[in-house]
Amino acid sequence: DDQWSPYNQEGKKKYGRELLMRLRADPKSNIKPDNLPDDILANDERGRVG
Amino acid sequence: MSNLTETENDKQEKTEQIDIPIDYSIKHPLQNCWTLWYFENDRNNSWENNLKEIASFQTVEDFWSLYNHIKLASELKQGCDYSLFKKGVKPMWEDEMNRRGGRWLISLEKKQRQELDRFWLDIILCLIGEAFENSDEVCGAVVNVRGKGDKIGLWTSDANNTNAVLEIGRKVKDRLRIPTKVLIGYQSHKDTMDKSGSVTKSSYTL
Repeated sequence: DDQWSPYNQEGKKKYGRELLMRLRADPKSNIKPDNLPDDILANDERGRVG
Repeated sequence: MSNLTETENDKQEKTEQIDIPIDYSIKHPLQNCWTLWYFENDRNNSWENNLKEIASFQTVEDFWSLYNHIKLASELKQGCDYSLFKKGVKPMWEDEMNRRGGRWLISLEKKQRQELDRFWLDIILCLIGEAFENSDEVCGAVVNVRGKGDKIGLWTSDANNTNAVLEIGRKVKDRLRIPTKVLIGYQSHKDTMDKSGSVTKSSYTL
């Protein structure tokens, strides 16, 4: 399998929708970036369900 | 109370069955680095000055961190765009990567506003997850928020690469769950630029 993993660093970094959606729940996925312009800043800080 | 516990256990078992292990100790690197752009239609500025580079990311977690803190497409003002392109490619026809390319165009009717956010997120997940066989041909995607009807375009770099264009179009239609009978068209940027009326001819239709 040519999928990237921590043990196959050369593999292709392909991710299906389900895996991407699951990673959304990780605390590392909810760190507010600096310097976002006010125009696009979300109205609230809750983790929304797309 | 015991009912609740049972349900919880059931749920846990079910989740465990379908779970493939995820390594939460690391951030998941993406194949490409992606840049988010924002366009605001301010008539006092030139088109290019209205286009702002917001942020770039190269991991799944950094993508979500950005997405979770910005407005949904449907929350943007009319006349605004989000664009997500591979880092180094500008979301404009003139860019070397786009010059000979075109876009799959998904036009939404006014009443489909609630579909807009799902379509846009699913397109993004196709891009960053490298869903396409011909992902090298993919440049990025644009969402136009417009009163007369929103639009989403998936940009590829070579309008003459029929196999790649069609593969990408089929995948998009499938992933967005667009019904077979609803047709989407691919337009070369050149035709969009040269058009005389309000309608651009499609090079491909699926």
